[in-house]
Amino acid sequence: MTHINKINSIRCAGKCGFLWAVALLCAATTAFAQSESDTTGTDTGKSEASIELKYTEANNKTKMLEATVKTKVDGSWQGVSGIAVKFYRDEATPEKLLGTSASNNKGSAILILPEAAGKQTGPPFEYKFLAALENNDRFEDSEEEITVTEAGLDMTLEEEDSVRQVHIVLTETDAQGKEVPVKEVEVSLFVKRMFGLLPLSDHPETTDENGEILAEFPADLRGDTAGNLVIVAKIEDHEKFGNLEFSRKINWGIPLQIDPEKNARELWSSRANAPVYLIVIVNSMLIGIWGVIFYILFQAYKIIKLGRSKAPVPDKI
Amino acid sequence: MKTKTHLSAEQKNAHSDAISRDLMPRPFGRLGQLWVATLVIICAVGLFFYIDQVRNGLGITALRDYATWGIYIANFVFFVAISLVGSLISAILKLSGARWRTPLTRISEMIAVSSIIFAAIVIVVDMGRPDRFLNVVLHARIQSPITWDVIVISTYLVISLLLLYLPLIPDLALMRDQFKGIPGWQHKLYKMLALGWNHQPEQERILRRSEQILAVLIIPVAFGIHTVTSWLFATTLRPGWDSTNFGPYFVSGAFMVGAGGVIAAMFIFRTFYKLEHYITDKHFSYMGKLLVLLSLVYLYFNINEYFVPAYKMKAQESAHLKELFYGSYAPLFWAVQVFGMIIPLIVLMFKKGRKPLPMFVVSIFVIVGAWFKRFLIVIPTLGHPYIPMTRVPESWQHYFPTFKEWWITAATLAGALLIVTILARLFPIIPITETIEEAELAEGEKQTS
Repeated sequence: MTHINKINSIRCAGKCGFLWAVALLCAATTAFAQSESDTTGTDTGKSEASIELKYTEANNKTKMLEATVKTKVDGSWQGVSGIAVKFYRDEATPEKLLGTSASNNKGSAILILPEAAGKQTGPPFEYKFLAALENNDRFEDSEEEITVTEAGLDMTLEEEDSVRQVHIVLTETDAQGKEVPVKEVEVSLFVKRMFGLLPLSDHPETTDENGEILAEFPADLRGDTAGNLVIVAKIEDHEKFGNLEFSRKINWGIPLQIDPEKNARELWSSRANAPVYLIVIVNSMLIGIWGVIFYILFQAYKIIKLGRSKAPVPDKI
Repeated sequence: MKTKTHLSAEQKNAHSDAISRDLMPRPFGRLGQLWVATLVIICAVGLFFYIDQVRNGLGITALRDYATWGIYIANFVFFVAISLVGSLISAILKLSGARWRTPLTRISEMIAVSSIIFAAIVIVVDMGRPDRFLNVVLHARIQSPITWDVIVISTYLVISLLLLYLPLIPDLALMRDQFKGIPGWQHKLYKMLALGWNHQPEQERILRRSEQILAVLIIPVAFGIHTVTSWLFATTLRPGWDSTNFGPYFVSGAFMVGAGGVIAAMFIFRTFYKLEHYITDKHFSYMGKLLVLLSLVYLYFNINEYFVPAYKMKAQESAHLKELFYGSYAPLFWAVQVFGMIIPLIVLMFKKGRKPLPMFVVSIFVIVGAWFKRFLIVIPTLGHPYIPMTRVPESWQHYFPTFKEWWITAATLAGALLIVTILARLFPIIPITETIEEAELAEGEKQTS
């Protein structure tokens, strides 16, 4: 009786211990799935959020709105991810809705403008955009607007007597619909590299009374194998035009020389170009280990053969 | 004198018969049948959802651009880890002359084989469609750690199978000759697998030598399998994975969970198969001490793995570490450290803690903790890529497995347990021949002294 009780208590305690361990870890798993938030609260129980709105136009074609949603966490403003931001043209009504986008982990929600939204048929050649945070579970409603004037940023690349020059022209559309030059606007020049933009000078260039900039281009920049470079002109955070960007590709770089002998067999090459040392090491190990395995299998075969050839030894066990 | 020898031989035979009777595989009782039925049901539900995954793609999981590796890969690492127990008990303890390991060798090899089979299966599950595995073979790059992993897993599986099978041959012959009242197919199976074994000295010499060679061979392969698995992570530039410590960190953790797995299996087999005479308190005590040693080593590597990056707090690492230490993963992180490592360590340091029942409870803590530890190694890192992704829905930035993923994962765990259960039903879980030989040897030594 005592023995049975003991076994029962052992089983019971074993089960309880197991369930306890699983429950603890499951509870922990559920807890880590909860999202963090220590933001500034309001009377409605929701937190306050701010929106920064930016307008960017690239090569006078692609027009983009970027709204950055931020909230105060421990006294500092931080981007909030996963928030749906609505973008409007002129006013925040359903008819004027351009689109909705969710913010990424930096808090930025991006909308590429539909072609129709970026065209103004008559004066004034200004565009008003709105970004709104509406009916969010976590944040109070919030709105931000931006007005930009239609402008044209153009870049031509000229070469004369081995001197290479970048020619920039900035124009805006006046009330009569005419393109007029814009003076005293700062334009930065860059060259696209693998992980970012390389500035061509320490300070931005400024447009003259003709809206022009003429900058000399260095001759010692390395390009791709064909010597191609992408030159970028940028106007950043301008109060009237927003962000304008123009880029152009040209073979003004020093062509990249790749020594095929040196780079043929590398860790990052295709499998046909694997390093010789790696092929030797891996195959030696494989031959060594699998050689022993086949030797063992051969020994098993010898056991079978011995079993067939000789009479069994009686009463061994 | 003659009479004494004759009696001694009779006693010897009776003793051998008693051991054989005790250790021969037995049909399942009601509890055993219920256990098998439960495992089969879990496997069937998991298979159903896996078919759904094959038909509809990995979209049925919570895997997205951020978390491209989820619980499938965490589960894979867990299986690879627990499979290392085969090399620990069958090779390391064998070569170090620990004779007490005899009743534990087969259990550990069964766990090793079933785990490594399911490690391979889980990888195929993670690929979405099974036919994609062919691409790994057809387009393998020798430079890729994934290729090394495929090679080393298949090699380890073959060696583990041999290490399970070879010492089983004398027992198979024994069952072929003495196991009566079994179905014809079972007898045929024993006969075929026994390889015509008839206890010739030459056969025994070949077998012992082969076992010795395999014991030596499996150690570097075991270290290789888990080191290469760790390199799948460590060769990737990611916060939390970019570590030179990862190889030994993984290997030490694997030995720890492997030992935990054997202790749990020892307790279950001892209790339900009434093997108290063969798996004694002494075995639990030895395994307890071994687990303390392995836990201390793993604790040391854990301190290295978290303390040094936390001391430096590099910008890219800090978000990941903060999330583990006091962020959204902190409850799980600390639960794993405390219940999966610290508490087992403390309990096992006391003699009373090294009794079968406390050790069973502790081993469950270790196993469950180890599974979630792999979850913590794989998933939180993926939320912090060096180059942030843009224009992705908010839900993609967090990962919590779908119930279908949980079921598929549960099915693989149930499948591994099912393999161990079937092996234990067909073959002796404690080596009969070796136990008889050791009993005779011990008796001889006793008489001599």
